[in-house]
Amino acid sequence: MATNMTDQPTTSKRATASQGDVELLGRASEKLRAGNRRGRRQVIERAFRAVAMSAATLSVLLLAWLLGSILLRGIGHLSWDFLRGVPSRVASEAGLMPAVVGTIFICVIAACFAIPIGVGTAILLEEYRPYRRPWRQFHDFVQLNITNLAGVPSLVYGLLGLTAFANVFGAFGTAKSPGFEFGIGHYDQFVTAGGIAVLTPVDRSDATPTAINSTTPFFDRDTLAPMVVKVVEPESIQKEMQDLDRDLEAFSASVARIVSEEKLTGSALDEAVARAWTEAGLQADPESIKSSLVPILAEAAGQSGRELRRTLRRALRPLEQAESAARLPDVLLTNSVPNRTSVTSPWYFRIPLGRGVLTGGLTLMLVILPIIIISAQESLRAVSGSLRQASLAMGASKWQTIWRVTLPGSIPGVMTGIILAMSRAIGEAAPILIIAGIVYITFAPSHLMDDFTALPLQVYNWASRPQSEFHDIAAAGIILLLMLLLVFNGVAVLIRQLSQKPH
Amino acid sequence: MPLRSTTMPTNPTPSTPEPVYASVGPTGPSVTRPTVRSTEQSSHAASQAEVSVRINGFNAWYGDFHALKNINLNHPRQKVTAYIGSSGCGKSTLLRWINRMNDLIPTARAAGTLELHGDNILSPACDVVELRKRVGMVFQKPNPFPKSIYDNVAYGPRLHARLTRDETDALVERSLKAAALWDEVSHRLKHSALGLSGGQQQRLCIARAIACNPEVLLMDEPCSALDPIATGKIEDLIDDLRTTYTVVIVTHNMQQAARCSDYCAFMHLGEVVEFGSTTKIFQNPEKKQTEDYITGRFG
Repeated sequence: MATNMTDQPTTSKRATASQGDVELLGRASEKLRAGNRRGRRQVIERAFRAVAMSAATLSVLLLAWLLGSILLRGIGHLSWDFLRGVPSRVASEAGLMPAVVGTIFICVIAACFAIPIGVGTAILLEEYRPYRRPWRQFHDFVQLNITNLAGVPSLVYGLLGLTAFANVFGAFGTAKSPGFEFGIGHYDQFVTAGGIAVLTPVDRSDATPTAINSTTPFFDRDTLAPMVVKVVEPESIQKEMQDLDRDLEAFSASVARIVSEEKLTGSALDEAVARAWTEAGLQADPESIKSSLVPILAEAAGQSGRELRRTLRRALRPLEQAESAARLPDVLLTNSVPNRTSVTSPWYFRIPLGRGVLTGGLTLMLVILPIIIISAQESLRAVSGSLRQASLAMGASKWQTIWRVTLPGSIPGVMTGIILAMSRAIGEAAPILIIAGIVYITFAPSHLMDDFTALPLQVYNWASRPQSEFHDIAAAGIILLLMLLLVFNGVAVLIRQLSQKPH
Repeated sequence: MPLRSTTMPTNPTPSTPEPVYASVGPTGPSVTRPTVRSTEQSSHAASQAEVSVRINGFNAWYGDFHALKNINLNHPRQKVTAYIGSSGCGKSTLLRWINRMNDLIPTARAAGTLELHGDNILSPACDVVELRKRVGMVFQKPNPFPKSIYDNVAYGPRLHARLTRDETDALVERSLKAAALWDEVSHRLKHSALGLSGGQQQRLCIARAIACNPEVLLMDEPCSALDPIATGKIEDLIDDLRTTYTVVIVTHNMQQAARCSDYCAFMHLGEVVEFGSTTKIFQNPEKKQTEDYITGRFG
């Protein structure tokens, strides 16, 4: 019955076909039967093959040439000291440590923020697709923006990071005097008459300088332990200061005489200096300056006139410090001028973030977020709908289905996207350039607001210098960057293979 | 039942439509399954037996398309009810309304009475999660999760309760035994379910569905992707399941409906043309349309 029904219209159509149609059809079938375009087809086939081959070869050759030249230049400079060292004005002493640590910092921060946000957004866009109008429009709007953001130049993200993270649109003050901060202590640093630096806390970095009095608390600069400091008026220790100057002058006159007139050397010189020390009534431990004093005096043995005076001044300077530290160790004059300084803890945080590691990481997050979202969306979409239905049909809630079925099923794709995004992040220079600037950083960041530099920036810095030795170590930096990339991609392949293998 | 699936053609062949159906169709049920049902049941027996799923004056739409029109069906408890009918007649739609799987389709809506043991399925107060726990479902294509066999079966119970290791073990073993799969997989419970054959996968899906202790088991063409031997095993399994569960099965295979169902609903263009005991539908249908369909003259 069914076949009859389908047959009938066809036959009637054929019956009504005109004579011209039949002729055309006949001619077409004749051509089809006779047609032999084998020669032409083969030529085209070969030509296209040749074009494709040469394109592939060219790109591979270019890559090989690039890698080869970089390897030749840089491999000799790649050493443990190079990895551990800090940037220097001398190419042979320069190292990469701050850049490597900075890169690791910002990449880890970027990953920590971008993965949950990106995968969460992908889940919203793929699994919680709304049907009702305003929500659907919001959804489409988000989707459109993410697709567009993937193509935005990373320099623009740098500017965005600078505005939104580093300055927070200027709404919370500046990084120097932030609207909110914790994990930092601001101090005024004073130097005692004995040359010891002591700290006294202040509220804010821009507070007015402390007016010291006898109740001001003081702390050691290094250990932050409380210190007892005697606060005195400058007039009240005038006599002690004069005594100090007098004794020092007496000692230096004796030493000058010993060296220039008696021309003593060796142990005789030692004894004479020790005697002069006692005679002048100096209180510092003679052993503490002997090591610096005696060699310089030995040097002065053959000198005279102005040269001798200069050498003596050089020899006696540490002595003056040691002597004033011994006589007036914790005496602070009320007219001392403080220096504003701060001590940060590893968990120092402030708003605005300033141009620190956290800002760099968050800016990189902006760069890689679209990549992660789009790849996660694609891998979520690739999870069979029948698995979702099976889960829902067993009474799983939407979240249970996502957590137990959809997300595990999409892990290979999500991981691949993450690793690709991370390899982009590791080589990204433009946004970091805007956030960090080219600064001469010789330390690893100690907290999230700390200044930093990154591998691509360091390489750029070296490569833009005129000396060719710097170009060589730039090549070594590029090799390290490439090796990091290789490791990242290797991990991606490994994870994908592990999670695709059925148990 | 040794004869079935080996002697019966599973699909009508266009070249010999008439003689095959004339001989097999009406006599099929009486030949293949006289032992299953001890008593002949009349069409009104359905209303007398305890009703598991009651459908009354039920209509469903996809957008503007009126997919189901005034459906009245009572599914007796612990019996197998089959929906037959040509493609697009609404069998699957009806089936998927019983556990509200149609909620996933934004344009789908329904009106009328749809009750599971007296509880209104369509009411907004009905908890879909609770409903689906009570109404399990097996799909057309085997769709085990890419997890181990054990985790597949334990998936449903773990969703609904915090079970100890031993309790889960017991539940998995019982479900796999009920699905006649235990002997084949008991030694490799930790292996991936994707390593099973198609028929085994489908039985695993059945085990997975019954692990939640459902009251009703919905099967949407469970054998359409399987070979005749696997189909035979599933049909045997359906026979066993009827002692515990109310089964609703959608099938395109007339012989299958005849072999394993107690009641049969023939649907056409969104309407139930005829509903009654399978014996009656296949041997003595009231409507000409039904007879035409089951003998292959139509559809």
